[in-house]
Amino acid sequence: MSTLRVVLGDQCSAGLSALADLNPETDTVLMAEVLSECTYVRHHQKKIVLVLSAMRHFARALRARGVTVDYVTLDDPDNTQSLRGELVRAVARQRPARVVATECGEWRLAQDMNGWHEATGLEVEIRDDTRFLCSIRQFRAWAGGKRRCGWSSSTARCDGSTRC
Amino acid sequence: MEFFYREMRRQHAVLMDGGVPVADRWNFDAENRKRLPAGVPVPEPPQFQPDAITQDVIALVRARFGDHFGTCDGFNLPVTAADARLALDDFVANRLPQFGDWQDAMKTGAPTLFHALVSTSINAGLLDPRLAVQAAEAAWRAGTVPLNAAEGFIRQIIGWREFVRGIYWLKMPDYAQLNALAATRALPQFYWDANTRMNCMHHAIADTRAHAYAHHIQRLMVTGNFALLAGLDPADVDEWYLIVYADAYEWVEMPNVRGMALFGDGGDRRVQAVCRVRRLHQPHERLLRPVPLRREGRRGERGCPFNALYWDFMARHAAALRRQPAHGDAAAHAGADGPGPGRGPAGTGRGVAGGDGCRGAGLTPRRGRGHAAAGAAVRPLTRSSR
Repeated sequence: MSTLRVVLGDQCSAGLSALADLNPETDTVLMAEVLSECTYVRHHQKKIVLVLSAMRHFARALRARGVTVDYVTLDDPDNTQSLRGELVRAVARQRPARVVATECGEWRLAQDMNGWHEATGLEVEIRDDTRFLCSIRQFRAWAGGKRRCGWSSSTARCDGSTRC
Repeated sequence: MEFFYREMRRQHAVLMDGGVPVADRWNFDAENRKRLPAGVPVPEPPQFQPDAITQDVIALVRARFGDHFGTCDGFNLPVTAADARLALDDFVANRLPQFGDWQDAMKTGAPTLFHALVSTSINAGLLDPRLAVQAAEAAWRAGTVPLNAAEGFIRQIIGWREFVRGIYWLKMPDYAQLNALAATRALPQFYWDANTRMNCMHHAIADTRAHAYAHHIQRLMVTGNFALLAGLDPADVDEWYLIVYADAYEWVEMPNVRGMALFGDGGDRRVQAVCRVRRLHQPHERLLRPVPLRREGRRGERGCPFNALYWDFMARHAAALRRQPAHGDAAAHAGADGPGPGRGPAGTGRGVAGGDGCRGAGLTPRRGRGHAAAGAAVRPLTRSSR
Protein backbone atom coordinates (compact mmCIF):
# COMPACT_ATOMS: atom_id res chain seq x y z
CA MET A 1 0.00 0.00 0.00
CA SER A 2 1.60 3.26 -1.08
CA THR A 3 2.25 5.42 1.95
CA LEU A 4 3.12 9.07 2.33
CA ARG A 5 5.39 9.42 5.35
CA VAL A 6 5.63 12.86 6.90
CA VAL A 7 8.87 13.90 8.59
CA LEU A 8 8.84 17.14 10.60
CA GLY A 9 11.78 19.45 11.21
CA ASP A 10 12.66 18.01 14.62
CA GLN A 11 12.25 14.44 13.39
CA CYS A 12 15.49 14.03 11.45
CA SER A 13 16.06 10.53 12.84
CA ALA A 14 16.82 7.39 10.85
CA GLY A 15 14.95 5.38 13.46
CA LEU A 16 11.80 7.56 13.38
CA SER A 17 8.65 5.51 13.98
CA ALA A 18 6.99 6.98 10.87
CA LEU A 19 9.77 5.44 8.78
CA ALA A 20 9.88 2.07 10.53
CA ASP A 21 8.21 -0.05 7.84
CA LEU A 22 9.08 2.14 4.88
CA ASN A 23 9.01 0.42 1.51
CA PRO A 24 11.22 2.33 -0.93
CA GLU A 25 9.33 0.75 -3.87
CA THR A 26 5.97 2.22 -2.96
CA ASP A 27 6.43 4.95 -0.35
CA THR A 28 7.35 8.61 -0.41
CA VAL A 29 8.69 10.77 2.39
CA LEU A 30 7.30 14.30 2.60
CA MET A 31 9.44 17.04 4.11
CA ALA A 32 8.33 20.66 3.83
CA GLU A 33 9.94 23.92 4.91
CA VAL A 34 7.02 26.20 5.72
CA LEU A 35 6.82 29.79 6.84
CA SER A 36 4.20 29.09 9.50
CA GLU A 37 6.67 26.92 11.45
CA CYS A 38 9.45 29.51 11.10
CA THR A 39 7.35 32.44 12.28
CA TYR A 40 4.64 31.30 14.75
CA VAL A 41 7.17 32.74 17.13
CA ARG A 42 10.10 34.71 15.79
CA HIS A 43 12.72 32.01 16.34
CA HIS A 44 16.40 32.88 16.73
CA GLN A 45 18.08 32.87 13.33
CA LYS A 46 20.48 30.09 14.32
CA LYS A 47 17.56 27.92 15.39
CA ILE A 48 15.97 28.20 11.94
CA VAL A 49 19.33 27.47 10.29
CA LEU A 50 19.71 24.37 12.46
CA VAL A 51 16.30 22.93 11.66
CA LEU A 52 16.24 23.70 7.93
CA SER A 53 19.81 22.52 7.43
CA ALA A 54 19.14 19.34 9.42
CA MET A 55 16.08 18.71 7.24
CA ARG A 56 18.03 19.15 3.99
CA HIS A 57 20.84 16.89 5.19
CA PHE A 58 18.36 14.28 6.36
CA ALA A 59 16.57 14.33 2.99
CA ARG A 60 19.92 13.79 1.31
CA ALA A 61 20.70 10.86 3.61
CA LEU A 62 17.31 9.27 2.89
CA ARG A 63 17.79 9.65 -0.87
CA ALA A 64 21.21 8.03 -0.55
CA ARG A 65 19.38 5.04 0.94
CA GLY A 66 17.15 4.90 -2.13
CA VAL A 67 14.13 6.54 -0.52
CA THR A 68 11.96 8.89 -2.60
CA VAL A 69 11.76 12.24 -0.83
CA ASP A 70 9.23 14.86 -1.84
CA TYR A 71 10.99 17.93 -0.46
CA VAL A 72 9.41 21.38 -0.56
CA THR A 73 11.76 24.31 0.00
CA LEU A 74 10.73 27.57 1.61
CA ASP A 75 11.33 29.46 -1.63
CA ASP A 76 9.20 27.13 -3.79
CA PRO A 77 6.69 29.53 -5.42
CA ASP A 78 3.87 26.99 -5.01
CA ASN A 79 4.59 26.47 -1.30
CA THR A 80 1.41 27.12 0.69
CA GLN A 81 3.68 27.80 3.71
CA SER A 82 1.67 25.59 6.07
CA LEU A 83 2.22 21.91 6.88
CA ARG A 84 -1.38 21.02 6.23
CA GLY A 85 -1.34 22.85 2.90
CA GLU A 86 1.82 21.04 1.84
CA LEU A 87 0.39 17.69 2.93
CA VAL A 88 -2.71 18.28 0.80
CA ARG A 89 -0.58 19.25 -2.20
CA ALA A 90 1.70 16.23 -1.73
CA VAL A 91 -1.31 13.89 -1.54
CA ALA A 92 -2.47 15.30 -4.88
CA ARG A 93 0.99 14.72 -6.39
CA GLN A 94 1.71 11.30 -4.92
CA ARG A 95 -1.77 9.77 -4.63
CA PRO A 96 -0.87 7.66 -1.61
CA ALA A 97 -3.30 5.20 -0.05
CA ARG A 98 -2.56 6.49 3.45
CA VAL A 99 -0.47 8.91 5.50
CA VAL A 100 1.85 7.96 8.34
CA ALA A 101 3.43 10.44 10.75
CA THR A 102 5.08 10.51 14.16
CA GLU A 103 3.51 12.56 16.95
CA CYS A 104 4.95 16.06 17.16
CA GLY A 105 6.40 18.07 20.05
CA GLU A 106 3.95 20.95 20.33
CA TRP A 107 0.27 21.08 21.22
CA ARG A 108 -0.72 23.60 18.52
CA LEU A 109 0.71 21.33 15.81
CA ALA A 110 -0.82 18.22 17.34
CA GLN A 111 -4.22 19.92 17.04
CA ASP A 112 -3.50 20.63 13.39
CA MET A 113 -2.43 17.04 12.76
CA ASN A 114 -5.74 15.83 14.18
CA GLY A 115 -7.33 17.56 11.19
CA TRP A 116 -5.12 15.91 8.58
CA HIS A 117 -7.52 13.05 8.03
CA GLU A 118 -10.33 15.43 7.21
CA ALA A 119 -8.07 17.58 5.03
CA THR A 120 -6.81 14.67 2.93
CA GLY A 121 -9.68 12.19 3.08
CA LEU A 122 -7.09 9.52 3.81
CA GLU A 123 -6.33 7.29 6.74
CA VAL A 124 -3.75 9.17 8.83
CA GLU A 125 -1.79 7.09 11.30
CA ILE A 126 0.06 9.10 13.95
CA ARG A 127 2.58 6.92 15.74
CA ASP A 128 4.21 7.26 19.14
CA ASP A 129 7.52 9.10 19.14
CA THR A 130 9.67 6.15 20.17
CA ARG A 131 12.77 8.31 20.38
CA PHE A 132 11.57 9.07 23.90
CA LEU A 133 12.11 6.24 26.35
CA CYS A 134 8.81 6.89 28.10
CA SER A 135 5.66 7.04 26.00
CA ILE A 136 3.00 9.62 26.75
CA ARG A 137 0.65 6.78 27.69
CA GLN A 138 3.20 5.28 30.08
CA PHE A 139 3.85 8.65 31.70
CA ARG A 140 0.14 9.25 32.13
CA ALA A 141 -0.21 5.88 33.85
CA TRP A 142 2.76 6.62 36.09
CA ALA A 143 1.46 10.10 36.98
CA GLY A 144 -2.05 8.75 37.52
CA GLY A 145 -0.70 6.64 40.35
CA LYS A 146 0.57 9.74 42.13
CA ARG A 147 -1.65 12.07 44.05
CA ARG A 148 0.68 14.96 43.46
CA CYS A 149 3.27 14.67 40.80
CA GLY A 150 6.18 16.29 42.56
CA TRP A 151 8.86 18.38 40.94
CA SER A 152 11.15 17.73 43.84
CA SER A 153 14.44 16.34 42.68
CA SER A 154 15.75 14.72 45.78
CA THR A 155 14.35 12.26 48.23
CA ALA A 156 15.41 14.51 51.07
CA ARG A 157 12.70 16.94 50.09
CA CYS A 158 9.91 14.42 50.15
CA ASP A 159 7.67 15.58 52.96
CA GLY A 160 5.64 12.42 53.12
CA SER A 161 2.51 14.10 51.80
CA THR A 162 3.03 12.55 48.38
CA ARG A 163 2.51 8.95 47.59
CA CYS A 164 5.67 8.72 45.55
CA MET B 1 10.92 13.62 39.39
CA GLU B 2 13.34 11.52 41.42
CA PHE B 3 10.94 8.60 41.55
CA PHE B 4 10.19 8.80 37.87
CA TYR B 5 13.93 8.85 37.24
CA ARG B 6 14.50 5.75 39.36
CA GLU B 7 11.71 4.01 37.51
CA MET B 8 13.41 4.83 34.21
CA ARG B 9 16.77 3.62 35.52
CA ARG B 10 15.20 0.31 36.53
CA GLN B 11 13.12 -0.13 33.42
CA HIS B 12 15.95 0.58 31.02
CA ALA B 13 18.70 -0.98 33.13
CA VAL B 14 20.81 2.18 33.21
CA LEU B 15 23.57 2.38 35.84
CA MET B 16 22.11 -0.64 37.60
CA ASP B 17 23.65 -3.71 39.18
CA GLY B 18 20.72 -6.03 38.95
CA GLY B 19 17.94 -4.47 40.99
CA VAL B 20 20.06 -1.88 42.79
CA PRO B 21 21.71 1.31 41.53
CA VAL B 22 25.45 1.13 41.01
CA ALA B 23 27.41 2.16 44.11
CA ASP B 24 24.10 1.73 45.91
CA ARG B 25 23.12 5.36 45.27
CA TRP B 26 20.65 6.85 42.81
CA ASN B 27 21.71 10.45 42.78
CA PHE B 28 25.03 12.28 43.16
CA ASP B 29 23.66 15.78 42.76
CA ALA B 30 25.04 16.87 46.11
CA GLU B 31 28.55 16.41 44.72
CA ASN B 32 27.85 18.40 41.58
CA ARG B 33 27.79 21.90 42.93
CA LYS B 34 31.40 22.90 43.24
CA ARG B 35 32.78 26.31 42.49
CA LEU B 36 34.99 26.53 39.46
CA PRO B 37 38.49 27.30 40.75
CA ALA B 38 40.52 29.90 38.89
CA GLY B 39 42.86 28.52 36.27
CA VAL B 40 40.95 25.36 35.39
CA PRO B 41 41.27 25.12 31.62
CA VAL B 42 37.92 24.78 29.87
CA PRO B 43 38.23 22.42 26.87
CA GLU B 44 37.22 23.94 23.56
CA PRO B 45 34.18 22.14 22.13
CA PRO B 46 34.36 21.02 18.48
CA GLN B 47 33.11 23.44 15.84
CA PHE B 48 31.14 22.22 12.85
CA GLN B 49 31.82 24.56 9.96
CA PRO B 50 28.85 25.12 7.62
CA ASP B 51 28.99 23.03 4.44
CA ALA B 52 27.40 24.11 1.14
CA ILE B 53 23.92 23.04 2.25
CA THR B 54 24.15 24.97 5.50
CA GLN B 55 25.59 28.00 3.72
CA ASP B 56 22.56 28.00 1.40
CA VAL B 57 20.27 27.86 4.41
CA ILE B 58 22.16 30.66 6.13
CA ALA B 59 21.67 32.85 3.05
CA LEU B 60 17.97 31.97 3.03
CA VAL B 61 17.54 32.73 6.73
CA ARG B 62 19.39 36.04 6.43
CA ALA B 63 17.15 37.04 3.54
CA ARG B 64 13.84 35.90 5.02
CA PHE B 65 14.35 36.08 8.79
CA GLY B 66 17.16 38.60 9.18
CA ASP B 67 14.94 40.67 11.47
CA HIS B 68 14.51 37.80 13.94
CA PHE B 69 16.43 37.74 17.22
CA GLY B 70 20.09 36.73 17.07
CA THR B 71 22.44 36.19 14.20
CA CYS B 72 23.55 33.46 11.78
CA ASP B 73 27.17 34.52 12.25
CA GLY B 74 29.42 31.81 13.62
CA PHE B 75 26.90 29.01 13.14
CA ASN B 76 28.74 25.84 14.18
CA LEU B 77 26.14 23.32 15.34
CA PRO B 78 25.98 19.72 14.13
CA VAL B 79 23.31 19.32 11.43
CA THR B 80 23.83 15.61 10.67
CA ALA B 81 23.65 12.44 12.75
CA ALA B 82 27.35 11.82 12.07
CA ASP B 83 28.42 15.21 13.39
CA ALA B 84 26.07 14.93 16.34
CA ARG B 85 27.82 11.65 17.22
CA LEU B 86 31.23 13.34 16.95
CA ALA B 87 30.02 16.09 19.28
CA LEU B 88 28.81 13.50 21.79
CA ASP B 89 32.07 11.54 21.66
CA ASP B 90 34.07 14.72 22.15
CA PHE B 91 31.98 15.65 25.17
CA VAL B 92 32.31 12.20 26.74
CA ALA B 93 36.07 12.17 26.18
CA ASN B 94 36.94 15.76 27.07
CA ARG B 95 34.30 17.41 29.22
CA LEU B 96 32.12 14.77 30.84
CA PRO B 97 34.89 13.76 33.30
CA GLN B 98 34.57 17.22 34.89
CA PHE B 99 30.94 17.92 34.02
CA GLY B 100 29.68 16.65 37.33
CA ASP B 101 31.84 18.78 39.57
CA TRP B 102 31.13 22.06 37.83
CA GLN B 103 27.79 21.66 36.12
CA ASP B 104 26.33 24.38 38.28
CA ALA B 105 29.20 26.82 37.80
CA MET B 106 29.17 30.03 35.78
CA LYS B 107 32.08 31.88 34.28
CA THR B 108 32.20 35.12 32.33
CA GLY B 109 33.36 34.61 28.78
CA ALA B 110 32.94 30.82 28.93
CA PRO B 111 29.36 30.20 27.93
CA THR B 112 29.72 26.47 27.35
CA LEU B 113 32.08 25.37 30.16
CA PHE B 114 31.83 21.60 30.66
CA HIS B 115 28.32 21.28 29.30
CA ALA B 116 27.43 18.63 26.76
CA LEU B 117 26.02 20.83 23.98
CA VAL B 118 24.05 17.85 22.71
CA SER B 119 20.57 19.21 23.39
CA THR B 120 20.18 20.82 19.96
CA SER B 121 21.08 17.49 18.35
CA ILE B 122 18.90 15.31 20.58
CA ASN B 123 15.87 17.57 20.34
CA ALA B 124 16.11 17.88 16.54
CA GLY B 125 16.41 14.11 16.24
CA LEU B 126 20.04 14.00 15.12
CA LEU B 127 21.19 12.12 18.19
CA ASP B 128 19.36 9.24 19.87
CA PRO B 129 19.17 9.93 23.62
CA ARG B 130 19.80 6.23 24.24
CA LEU B 131 23.18 6.57 22.51
CA ALA B 132 24.11 9.48 24.75
CA VAL B 133 23.14 7.51 27.84
CA GLN B 134 25.03 4.41 26.71
CA ALA B 135 28.14 6.44 25.89
CA ALA B 136 28.18 8.04 29.35
CA GLU B 137 27.62 4.74 31.16
CA ALA B 138 30.24 2.99 29.05
CA ALA B 139 32.78 5.71 29.85
CA TRP B 140 32.11 5.28 33.57
CA ARG B 141 32.40 1.49 33.33
CA ALA B 142 35.68 1.95 31.43
CA GLY B 143 36.95 4.14 34.26
CA THR B 144 37.40 7.33 32.25
CA VAL B 145 34.52 9.23 33.83
CA PRO B 146 33.58 9.47 37.52
CA LEU B 147 30.17 8.22 38.55
CA ASN B 148 28.86 11.60 39.73
CA ALA B 149 29.48 13.01 36.25
CA ALA B 150 27.98 10.09 34.34
CA GLU B 151 24.96 9.92 36.65
CA GLY B 152 24.37 13.68 36.51
CA PHE B 153 24.40 13.69 32.72
CA ILE B 154 22.24 10.58 32.43
CA ARG B 155 19.72 12.01 34.89
CA GLN B 156 19.24 15.04 32.67
CA ILE B 157 18.38 12.78 29.74
CA ILE B 158 16.33 9.86 31.04
CA GLY B 159 15.09 11.72 34.10
CA TRP B 160 14.50 15.38 33.52
CA ARG B 161 14.08 15.38 29.73
CA GLU B 162 11.56 12.54 29.75
CA PHE B 163 9.80 13.94 32.79
CA VAL B 164 9.18 17.41 31.38
CA ARG B 165 7.91 15.92 28.15
CA GLY B 166 5.46 13.77 30.09
CA ILE B 167 4.33 16.76 32.16
CA TYR B 168 3.77 18.84 29.02
CA TRP B 169 1.43 16.34 27.39
CA LEU B 170 -0.22 15.51 30.69
CA LYS B 171 -1.10 19.13 31.42
CA MET B 172 -1.69 20.73 28.03
CA PRO B 173 -3.59 22.74 26.96
CA ASP B 174 -4.40 24.23 30.37
CA TYR B 175 -0.71 24.33 31.17
CA ALA B 176 -0.18 27.28 28.83
CA GLN B 177 -2.59 29.38 30.93
CA LEU B 178 -1.16 28.65 34.38
CA ASN B 179 0.05 31.65 36.29
CA ALA B 180 -0.14 30.67 39.95
CA LEU B 181 1.59 33.85 41.11
CA ALA B 182 -0.53 36.14 38.90
CA ALA B 183 2.57 37.70 37.34
CA THR B 184 1.70 40.36 34.77
CA ARG B 185 4.74 42.55 34.11
CA ALA B 186 5.68 42.73 30.42
CA LEU B 187 9.07 41.34 29.38
CA PRO B 188 11.62 44.18 29.61
CA GLN B 189 13.40 45.28 26.45
CA PHE B 190 16.78 44.20 27.84
CA TYR B 191 15.79 40.55 27.36
CA TRP B 192 16.29 41.33 23.66
CA ASP B 193 19.11 43.87 23.57
CA ALA B 194 21.09 42.80 26.69
CA ASN B 195 21.27 46.48 27.56
CA THR B 196 21.23 46.22 31.34
CA ARG B 197 23.70 47.06 34.07
CA MET B 198 23.06 43.73 35.77
CA ASN B 199 26.21 41.90 34.74
CA CYS B 200 24.88 38.35 35.03
CA MET B 201 21.81 39.26 32.98
CA HIS B 202 23.87 41.12 30.41
CA HIS B 203 26.15 38.12 29.84
CA ALA B 204 23.39 35.52 29.82
CA ILE B 205 21.38 37.48 27.25
CA ALA B 206 24.34 38.51 25.11
CA ASP B 207 25.56 34.87 25.01
CA THR B 208 22.06 33.77 24.10
CA ARG B 209 21.80 36.29 21.30
CA ALA B 210 25.17 35.24 19.87
CA HIS B 211 24.85 31.46 20.23
CA ALA B 212 21.15 30.58 20.67
CA TYR B 213 22.55 28.77 23.70
CA ALA B 214 23.03 29.34 27.40
CA HIS B 215 23.69 26.64 29.94
CA HIS B 216 21.01 25.64 32.40
CA ILE B 217 22.32 27.74 35.27
CA GLN B 218 22.13 30.89 33.17
CA ARG B 219 18.68 29.94 31.94
CA LEU B 220 17.31 29.02 35.34
CA MET B 221 19.22 31.04 37.87
CA VAL B 222 19.79 34.24 35.93
CA THR B 223 17.14 35.02 33.31
CA GLY B 224 14.65 32.61 34.87
CA ASN B 225 15.08 33.86 38.41
CA PHE B 226 14.87 37.45 37.33
CA ALA B 227 11.62 36.70 35.50
CA LEU B 228 10.23 35.04 38.60
CA LEU B 229 11.30 37.70 41.08
CA ALA B 230 10.29 40.63 38.88
CA GLY B 231 6.89 39.08 38.27
CA LEU B 232 7.16 38.85 34.48
CA ASP B 233 4.15 37.50 32.63
CA PRO B 234 4.71 33.74 32.05
CA ALA B 235 3.29 34.01 28.52
CA ASP B 236 5.99 36.53 27.60
CA VAL B 237 8.68 34.50 29.30
CA ASP B 238 7.52 31.29 27.62
CA GLU B 239 7.70 32.90 24.23
CA TRP B 240 11.13 34.34 24.92
CA TYR B 241 12.63 30.96 25.83
CA LEU B 242 10.95 29.31 22.86
CA ILE B 243 12.39 31.94 20.52
CA VAL B 244 15.92 32.34 21.78
CA TYR B 245 17.24 28.79 22.29
CA ALA B 246 18.10 26.52 19.39
CA ASP B 247 17.09 23.45 21.43
CA ALA B 248 13.68 24.85 22.44
CA TYR B 249 10.45 23.19 21.40
CA GLU B 250 7.35 23.80 23.42
CA TRP B 251 7.32 20.33 25.03
CA VAL B 252 10.65 21.03 26.69
CA GLU B 253 10.47 24.80 27.04
CA MET B 254 7.11 25.20 28.74
CA PRO B 255 7.55 22.84 31.72
CA ASN B 256 11.02 24.25 32.34
CA VAL B 257 9.76 27.81 32.25
CA ARG B 258 6.32 27.56 33.83
CA GLY B 259 6.95 24.72 36.18
CA MET B 260 10.56 25.19 37.07
CA ALA B 261 11.50 28.81 36.58
CA LEU B 262 8.28 30.68 37.16
CA PHE B 263 6.48 28.56 39.73
CA GLY B 264 3.51 29.13 37.47
CA ASP B 265 2.03 25.72 38.07
CA GLY B 266 2.12 26.12 41.83
CA GLY B 267 4.33 23.05 42.11
CA ASP B 268 7.02 22.71 44.70
CA ARG B 269 10.06 22.35 42.48
CA ARG B 270 10.54 26.07 42.16
CA VAL B 271 10.93 26.56 45.85
CA GLN B 272 14.41 25.12 45.92
CA ALA B 273 15.51 27.35 43.09
CA VAL B 274 14.26 30.49 44.76
CA CYS B 275 16.23 29.47 47.77
CA ARG B 276 19.33 28.86 45.80
CA VAL B 277 19.29 32.24 44.13
CA ARG B 278 20.75 33.78 47.22
CA ARG B 279 23.70 31.47 47.17
CA LEU B 280 24.23 31.36 43.43
CA HIS B 281 24.16 35.03 42.82
CA GLN B 282 26.99 35.70 45.20
CA PRO B 283 30.17 33.87 44.43
CA HIS B 284 29.95 33.07 40.77
CA GLU B 285 33.20 34.30 39.43
CA ARG B 286 32.27 37.83 40.27
CA LEU B 287 29.58 37.99 37.65
CA LEU B 288 27.96 40.07 40.30
CA ARG B 289 29.72 42.01 42.97
CA PRO B 290 29.32 39.95 46.12
CA VAL B 291 26.67 41.65 48.14
CA PRO B 292 25.91 40.87 51.74
CA LEU B 293 22.44 39.47 51.75
CA ARG B 294 21.54 40.64 55.17
CA ARG B 295 18.40 42.67 55.17
CA GLU B 296 20.43 45.91 55.36
CA GLY B 297 21.99 45.02 52.03
CA ARG B 298 18.84 44.55 50.17
CA ARG B 299 18.37 48.12 49.05
CA GLY B 300 20.36 51.07 48.00
CA GLU B 301 23.05 52.26 45.70
CA ARG B 302 25.24 49.15 45.71
CA GLY B 303 22.73 46.44 46.34
CA CYS B 304 22.33 43.75 43.75
CA PRO B 305 18.82 44.17 42.31
CA PHE B 306 18.29 40.45 42.83
CA ASN B 307 18.41 41.13 46.57
CA ALA B 308 15.72 43.76 46.49
CA LEU B 309 13.66 41.76 44.03
CA TYR B 310 14.05 38.67 46.18
CA TRP B 311 12.73 40.39 49.30
CA ASP B 312 10.02 42.10 47.31
CA PHE B 313 9.00 38.73 45.92
CA MET B 314 8.97 37.18 49.37
CA ALA B 315 6.83 40.01 50.67
CA ARG B 316 4.41 39.87 47.77
CA HIS B 317 3.94 36.15 48.20
CA ALA B 318 4.54 35.84 51.91
CA ALA B 319 1.24 34.19 52.64
CA ALA B 320 1.75 31.45 50.09
CA LEU B 321 5.44 30.97 50.74
CA ARG B 322 5.11 30.78 54.49
CA ARG B 323 3.57 27.38 54.00
CA GLN B 324 6.67 26.19 52.17
CA PRO B 325 9.14 24.68 54.63
CA ALA B 326 12.11 26.08 52.74
CA HIS B 327 10.78 29.62 52.79
CA GLY B 328 8.74 30.07 55.89
CA ASP B 329 11.39 32.05 57.74
CA ALA B 330 12.30 34.33 54.87
CA ALA B 331 8.69 34.97 54.00
CA ALA B 332 7.85 35.82 57.57
CA HIS B 333 10.90 38.08 57.71
CA ALA B 334 9.98 39.90 54.54
CA GLY B 335 6.40 40.28 55.58
CA ALA B 336 7.37 41.56 59.03
CA ASP B 337 7.71 45.09 57.74
CA GLY B 338 4.00 45.20 58.06
CA PRO B 339 1.76 48.01 56.94
CA GLY B 340 3.39 51.34 56.38
CA PRO B 341 3.70 54.10 53.83
CA GLY B 342 3.66 52.45 50.47
CA ARG B 343 4.02 49.05 52.03
CA GLY B 344 1.51 46.35 52.26
CA PRO B 345 0.81 43.85 54.97
CA ALA B 346 2.12 40.43 54.16
CA GLY B 347 0.14 38.66 51.55
CA THR B 348 -1.64 41.64 50.06
CA GLY B 349 0.53 41.54 46.97
CA ARG B 350 2.27 44.85 47.75
CA GLY B 351 5.94 44.37 48.38
CA VAL B 352 8.45 46.11 50.57
CA ALA B 353 11.37 46.65 48.26
CA GLY B 354 9.90 46.87 44.81
CA GLY B 355 10.79 50.46 44.23
CA ASP B 356 14.53 50.13 44.72
CA GLY B 357 14.79 46.74 43.14
CA CYS B 358 12.85 47.85 40.11
CA ARG B 359 15.03 50.85 39.51
CA GLY B 360 18.27 48.97 40.00
CA ALA B 361 17.03 46.33 37.62
CA GLY B 362 16.02 48.87 35.01
CA LEU B 363 12.34 48.16 35.47
CA THR B 364 9.50 50.56 35.86
CA PRO B 365 8.41 50.43 39.47
CA ARG B 366 4.96 49.07 39.96
CA ARG B 367 4.01 52.09 42.03
CA GLY B 368 5.45 55.46 42.94
CA ARG B 369 7.68 55.43 45.99
CA GLY B 370 10.03 57.93 47.58
CA HIS B 371 13.66 58.06 46.64
CA ALA B 372 15.17 56.64 43.52
CA ALA B 373 18.04 54.47 44.63
CA ALA B 374 19.47 53.60 41.28
CA GLY B 375 22.67 51.69 40.93
CA ALA B 376 23.12 48.20 42.18
CA ALA B 377 24.60 46.83 39.00
CA VAL B 378 28.25 46.55 38.21
CA ARG B 379 28.67 47.37 34.55
CA PRO B 380 28.75 50.97 33.45
CA LEU B 381 26.25 50.45 30.68
CA THR B 382 23.50 52.84 29.85
CA ARG B 383 20.16 52.04 31.31
CA SER B 384 17.72 49.91 29.46
CA SER B 385 15.80 51.85 26.89
CA ARG B 386 12.64 50.92 28.71
